[in-house]
Amino acid sequence: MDYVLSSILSCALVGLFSGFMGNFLVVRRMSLMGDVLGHAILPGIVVGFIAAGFKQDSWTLFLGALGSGLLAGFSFEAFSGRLKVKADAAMAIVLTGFFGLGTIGLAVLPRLGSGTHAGLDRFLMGEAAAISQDDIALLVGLLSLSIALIVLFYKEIRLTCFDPDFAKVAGLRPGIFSLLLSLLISATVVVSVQATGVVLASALLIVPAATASFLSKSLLGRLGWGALFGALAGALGAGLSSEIDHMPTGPAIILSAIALLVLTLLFAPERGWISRGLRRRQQKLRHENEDFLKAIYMEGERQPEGHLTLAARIREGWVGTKPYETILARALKNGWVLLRADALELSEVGREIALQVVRNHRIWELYLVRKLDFALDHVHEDAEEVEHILTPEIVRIIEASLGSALHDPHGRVIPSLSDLKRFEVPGY
Amino acid sequence: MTLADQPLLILAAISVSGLCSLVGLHLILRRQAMYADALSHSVLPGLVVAFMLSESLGPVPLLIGAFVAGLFTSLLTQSLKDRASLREDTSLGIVFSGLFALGVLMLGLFASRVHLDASCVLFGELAFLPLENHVSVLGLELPQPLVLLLGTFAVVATICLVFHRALVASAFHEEMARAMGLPVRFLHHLTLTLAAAAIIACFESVGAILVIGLLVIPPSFGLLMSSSFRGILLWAWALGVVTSVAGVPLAFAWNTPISGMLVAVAFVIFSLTFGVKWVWENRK
Repeated sequence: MDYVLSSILSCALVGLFSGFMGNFLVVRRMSLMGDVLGHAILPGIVVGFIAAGFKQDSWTLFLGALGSGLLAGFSFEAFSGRLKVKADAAMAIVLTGFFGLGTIGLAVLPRLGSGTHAGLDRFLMGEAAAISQDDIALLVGLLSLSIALIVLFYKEIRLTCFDPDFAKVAGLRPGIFSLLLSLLISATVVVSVQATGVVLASALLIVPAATASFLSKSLLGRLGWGALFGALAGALGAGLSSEIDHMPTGPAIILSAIALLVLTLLFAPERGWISRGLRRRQQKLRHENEDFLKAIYMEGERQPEGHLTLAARIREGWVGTKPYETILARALKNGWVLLRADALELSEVGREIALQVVRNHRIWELYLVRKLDFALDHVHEDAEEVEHILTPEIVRIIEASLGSALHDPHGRVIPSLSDLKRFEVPGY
Repeated sequence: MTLADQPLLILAAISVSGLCSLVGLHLILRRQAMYADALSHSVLPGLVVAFMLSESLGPVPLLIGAFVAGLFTSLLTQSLKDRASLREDTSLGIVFSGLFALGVLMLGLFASRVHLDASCVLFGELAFLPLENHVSVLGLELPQPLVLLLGTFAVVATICLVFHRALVASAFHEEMARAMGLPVRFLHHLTLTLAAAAIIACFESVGAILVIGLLVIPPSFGLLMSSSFRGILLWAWALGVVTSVAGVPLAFAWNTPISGMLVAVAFVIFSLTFGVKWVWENRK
């Protein structure tokens, strides 16, 4: 097979596996555990190297690394939360302690056997070209095994991740599944270290998984997105590093993954910054519109003609200000208000919106005073906020709980359900 | 390295672990131990940029570069946490690995112009200390990194003393500290800045990854042995001295990197103490 194509494919596979498994770290708030495992496998690699007779054999190295990763996982569990050692300190202790032992091993190695440890360095920095056919076979085997285990125990694993206390109460033995996940994650780190290097293997676990968290809330959805983004980042990074001279593979993969994260952060349909910004703006416009229509309605309550004269608008200090003029233009365009001579009058639609808001406001005030014993002068500000948020259904329930709701605490009439025409207001 | 260098190296190892224990204790009390890990990686791009701009390995530009990168890490993590509603551990992991990737990438791309070896930054080597430029301080001829180390130690210790009460109060009970009118956010960033300073001062001699061990293991050991701040710190320093006195000759004897040996010795002593204490407290 073409050399470049095969390195792209193998990196995509590594990314897919990491992005898939990383979700279990991110969901369990253990994102930094990947970094701990990545460093902690170093002594295992040295031991595996010795065990294989000072050769690099995929399977022996893999088993050595896996053993050391598991031992690190156990040490973390043993330290964490006991004798005043907190989780963060336990992670740092295990990471650096194992790594220190590993560097000693690397230094002693050349004197133990005839061989050199040339090539073991790739575990620190990573190189896509270092992935052999054996590694690929290992990877595919592990991936299928992980997926099979996760499909088999999906319910138990999901519960262990999201609510370990409940899992325990339900008799699920979350410890076993947590251990199973640690085992699979160690295996993932061991495999991906070869492509990306120690430090960046943990990044490949969490960056695609974090990206996935913006696109789906369910574990299944996150697993899928994580795998997709991981694979994309792997392929992209490997491609870039083969195109550009001196571009190391690991960083290229991680920076691709981060680029995908940033794009998702911006453009994700619901949780993305752009769509959230748009939503916030829409909400602000809606609040402005409703406050404006409400003001006209309340002027109508005070004055029998029922409209806001130019004199009143000047008195309020509105005329000529930019926010007022834009709100007025919007209300006129939408047909919510009519300009008769110099007086502003609510149209039928505008009156409907205003009625709803006023009704929300006054029922909420009454509820706060009558049910929650708020002081009379403390309820207005709260109602100003809530009036835009309450839905007709909630207001009806509150109204029913109040018994009679004809006047608000300040003695003003509460618009009743029968005052509303109850037609759908366009744009709402 | 020669045997005659041993006393100097032990002295250097003791000052490294003394500085690291002090800063590490503050980190641990805030449950920010993994910040040390993050910072020690994320300073790499700062070092590379500083090196490329200044075309030298002088300590001042490197310090500034690493410092800026450290600051960048804590600010980026904070904003990713606040603005993208990611959890703190996830944002920290993303930020530091991203910065590290950037650093390795720059090293790879500009390798011909930057004579900075990534593995040198990561591993460091105390043994080169006697070979460094010597400067004369108070009539003593000392290697430059050691002077840098002792200077940093003095500054950091002064800051820790001045802000001692505020730092400890805000570490133990953030809400109460805020109610007392302490600048909690400032103190948080101050602690991280001190950690960055300690890491930068030590990376040349211990390497970025193993400095985490010297930051975290001795104070954790102190925490096993004592409950008062002073007691914890004294035990931590004691472990630092024992580690240095035992680790440097051991590294000489086995011909291994000193930094790895220091951390390994500290780790083994911590694990044994932990095990003994655990069994002792659960005996029946």
